[in-house]
Amino acid sequence: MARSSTENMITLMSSDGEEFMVTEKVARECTTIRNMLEDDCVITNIPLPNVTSDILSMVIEYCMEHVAAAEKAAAETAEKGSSSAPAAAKANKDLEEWDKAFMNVDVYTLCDLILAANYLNVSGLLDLTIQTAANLIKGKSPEQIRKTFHIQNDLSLEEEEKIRSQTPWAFEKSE
Amino acid sequence: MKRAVKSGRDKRDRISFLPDCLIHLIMSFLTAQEAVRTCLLSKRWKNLWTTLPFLDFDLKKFEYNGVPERRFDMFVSFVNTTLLLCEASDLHMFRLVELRDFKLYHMFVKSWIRYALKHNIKELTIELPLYYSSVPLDGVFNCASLINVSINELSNIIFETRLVTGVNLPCLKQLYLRGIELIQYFVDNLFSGCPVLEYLHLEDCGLGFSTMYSQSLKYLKIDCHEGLHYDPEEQMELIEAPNLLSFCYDQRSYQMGDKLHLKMPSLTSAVILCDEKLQGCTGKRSAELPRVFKFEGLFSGIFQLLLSVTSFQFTCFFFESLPTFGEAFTSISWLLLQPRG
Repeated sequence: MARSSTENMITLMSSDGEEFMVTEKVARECTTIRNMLEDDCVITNIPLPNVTSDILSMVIEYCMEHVAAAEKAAAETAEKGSSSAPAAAKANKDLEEWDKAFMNVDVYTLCDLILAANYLNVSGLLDLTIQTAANLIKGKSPEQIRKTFHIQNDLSLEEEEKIRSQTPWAFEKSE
Repeated sequence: MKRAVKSGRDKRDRISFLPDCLIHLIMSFLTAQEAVRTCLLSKRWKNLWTTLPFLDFDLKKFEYNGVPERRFDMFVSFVNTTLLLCEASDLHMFRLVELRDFKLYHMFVKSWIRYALKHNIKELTIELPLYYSSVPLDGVFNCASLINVSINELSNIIFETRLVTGVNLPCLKQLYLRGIELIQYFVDNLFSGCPVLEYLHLEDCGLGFSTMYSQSLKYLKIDCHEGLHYDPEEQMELIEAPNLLSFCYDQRSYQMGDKLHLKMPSLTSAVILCDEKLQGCTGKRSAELPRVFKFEGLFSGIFQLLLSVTSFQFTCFFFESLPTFGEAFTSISWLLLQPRG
């Protein structure tokens, strides 16, 4: 999408030193950055020591998509004087589909995205990633969850027995 | 944008190294049973659920493979044990839902809800038959930490609120009530006791009050899907909400009085569904129609309006009845007239 040159550009720097140029509008999707910009409006270079370049590029991709979708909806409303309900519903559905495809990542990346979304305070992305992680746990036995998230079982057999006897109701249909 | 994936790392455990608060956030999308079950994963997970501030007890989703007669007993044991072992000092969300045919256990239900009320609960959802006085309603309506409350009377009997003596919910923003009787005394208490209430949804409620006034309300939805047998003491005559933005009114199944006066000068969106049969004007070109709704300054700010009535003719009558149609809708951008079959 072509952007006007008057738009403020901001450089985000990942923990491994890679630089990402984004528009201020995209950067503002991250509440943490928005707060920094509001505290000090001349800031143009923001180091993000908690986010690696591969994760940061994904967060930016998410923010850009959502900013573009919001701009498109606003433009349509302005053009026709109103947003027709079916068109808005379709746009919402398209964005949902995009989110779903975006969440097609391995569980390690997913957890990194949760951390980054939490740190940068991107509420939409945090909801999306948390919900995705919860869906991977839902309806699974402990063994299946361990396998999905590569969790090492370091409980002894005795410990496991003790836990099971304490809350036997929790483990119906668990194995 | 290409995604670099470092080789080998996707086989490592990452979720266990997330901070507790983020794991709890993931667990907030699970039922309490699913959340408790994670304690078997590893040492790291063993006690994680005990500080979980989100507790979702859903009888319908409760998994139990033993004899069906013992299902309720097991559910009660599960909730009791979970609350006993739970160490979270503050609860964010507490849900007690789908508790149908649960009458033998109402004393337990009362203690569970009391537990939530004592732990600075912010979001409370209760779905059960209320008539066994299983819910300490006085306690719920006086729990100062509540931000979001949803009470669903499951037995399809309008529950009386005469016994609720006062309301004090200084932080409450959202309220959903289903199957609750709203008498004038309760409505007055409700709006004076909830100074920041913005969203109110009344579904299948007994509307036994004549006036409703709220300074804070932004979204109001009143609807009825069940054919309720309810004989109100008073009939709704006036709704006044100076800051209301959105109003949704579905009175197809209500036995209404013959007039309703709406004072909502800030309204930007309205959905009004009517049923002429219930307004006693079937078949005749009724000059009484203007009395059904009286709008005061209502349409001047409106830009979205859906009017849906039983017949197109009725719609025409409706608009004929508005004195200055063109002037009334100065800022409307879409208007949908939908005849109901």
